[in-house]
Amino acid sequence: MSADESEPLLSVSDLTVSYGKVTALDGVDIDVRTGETIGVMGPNGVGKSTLVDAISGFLDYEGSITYRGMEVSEASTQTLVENGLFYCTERRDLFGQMSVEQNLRLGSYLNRDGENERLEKVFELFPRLEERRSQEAESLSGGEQQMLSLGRGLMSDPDFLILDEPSIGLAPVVLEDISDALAAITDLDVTVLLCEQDITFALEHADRLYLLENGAVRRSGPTESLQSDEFVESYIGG
Amino acid sequence: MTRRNIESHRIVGIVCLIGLASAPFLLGILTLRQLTAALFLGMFAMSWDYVSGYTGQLSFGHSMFFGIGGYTAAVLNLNVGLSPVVTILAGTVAAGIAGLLVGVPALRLRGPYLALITLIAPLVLVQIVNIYPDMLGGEGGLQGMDLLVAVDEPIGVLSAVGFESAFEHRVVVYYYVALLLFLAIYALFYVFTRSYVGSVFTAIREDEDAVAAVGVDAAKFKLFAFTMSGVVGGLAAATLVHTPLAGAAPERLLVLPVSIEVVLIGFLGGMGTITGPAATGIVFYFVRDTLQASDAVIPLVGLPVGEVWEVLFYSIALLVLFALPRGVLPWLSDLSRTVRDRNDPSAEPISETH
Repeated sequence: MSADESEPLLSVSDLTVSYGKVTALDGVDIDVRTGETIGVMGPNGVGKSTLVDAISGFLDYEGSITYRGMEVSEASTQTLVENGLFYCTERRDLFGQMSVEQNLRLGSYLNRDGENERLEKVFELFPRLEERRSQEAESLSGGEQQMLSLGRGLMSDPDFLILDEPSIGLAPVVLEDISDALAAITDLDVTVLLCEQDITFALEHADRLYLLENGAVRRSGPTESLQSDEFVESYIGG
Repeated sequence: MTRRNIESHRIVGIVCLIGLASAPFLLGILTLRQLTAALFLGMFAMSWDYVSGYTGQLSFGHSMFFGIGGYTAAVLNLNVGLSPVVTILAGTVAAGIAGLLVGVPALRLRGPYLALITLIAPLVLVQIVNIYPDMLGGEGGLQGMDLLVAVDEPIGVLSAVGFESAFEHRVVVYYYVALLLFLAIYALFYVFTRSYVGSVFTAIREDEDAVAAVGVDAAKFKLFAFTMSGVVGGLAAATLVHTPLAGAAPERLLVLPVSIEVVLIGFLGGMGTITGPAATGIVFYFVRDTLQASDAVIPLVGLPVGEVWEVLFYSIALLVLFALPRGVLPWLSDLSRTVRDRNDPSAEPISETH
């Protein structure tokens, strides 16, 4: 995937987020350019979800987060989604008592043009969702729910997809499906910010990586160069 | 949902419709009068279910909309001399504005905080009615409003089909007025709740934060739901005060038990189904009236049912809620699905339309 060398699509600068007296993120800098797949790695509790919550406008922060030149704290979630940002949370945030199809169609709330075509694409990508289109979301397996979460993100016709732990809790065979889907998504020229603690999954998909430790970026760079990095190796080993 | 399931729902709907349309020919005139009043309770229940059942914005004070709609119509008719058609329209608009105003705190408040606001608002209105007895009638309420349809003389068509007195004719006419309004409100809500708007409402009920994450402005939908709910509750109440059934009195439109009954009907019928609360409102009215009018004596304790009807009635309601926490309609729906699956495991599932 070729990255655009102009203005970053997303620019995180000196980002600090605190929960009361606890500092969850401390001076984080991240750039994401159009077309890139960026991996943010780190173990549980390191601040990955806090980072993407802040980027998506759900948390107050110090420092700066700009998406398409807009300061995120000054934009509504609606504006961000209208501008192509879509956040698939770790919780998946599905509407359990609504059908698969209703969940998917809600994803295109702000962009109804071409909704049916996108629905067909999502069903092509995840045939299991088509089989279960009338089923309530809460009755799906964990893997299927993850597919639904990704599918709903795609229904918004996103330019920038934020995925928080898409591999979490999934059986290896399901993980393969999600991995294939992610590859297909990046082939659609969707820029992706992937927060992962599954190192293999992140290395497989990311063009560049940021490794978080204790709320700060410890290493960053192209995936190939970091694969041989001592710190990353110790993380993989650990 | 399967095709067969949809088909069976349609058949039940058509049978109910035929039953309601032919009720004047099947029921005694006093029972028909009761059914007319029951239809209004069904309308109140639908108005509550639209905002509380679908969007999950629990309102414990829906009587404020009925009160505002009913009193606005009554005052404008008695004091200003406007015709019922105009006053009903005015009552509807006033209740809609009240819905909009109540919806504003709903943008900031959730759960018990919002419920408290809705609970207090009608208490304020009851006090206002008592403060201005000359204009609003005080505890006794306002009576003597013009009727929506004047039935002073027997109507030829009704005489031809066996209805004799002007009283019977009036009961039949107002039954059909209530039925038409009931069906119009039902159809309106049916269309709304099965549309994309309905999906968003359900999503707001399930997880408001997740709704925001997909870019939906939940505030706009909540305001819309409250306004629509107010409009429909106000329309029903404003029409009611221009029928021979009821005046605009606090005990009919405004007091706390009115609000609680509507909430109870919503829960009993099945929240977020419209059909459940609509049908339960009708049954509820009849059970309540039957118990109230009963001169039977409870064995062992020796108490007349008519004197302790509230204890019996609300105990029955609580037992039903305990046994069927999701409400009667979802239970019936599950039951019919289970029976059908047992008889025909190959029933083909289909997608729902939007």
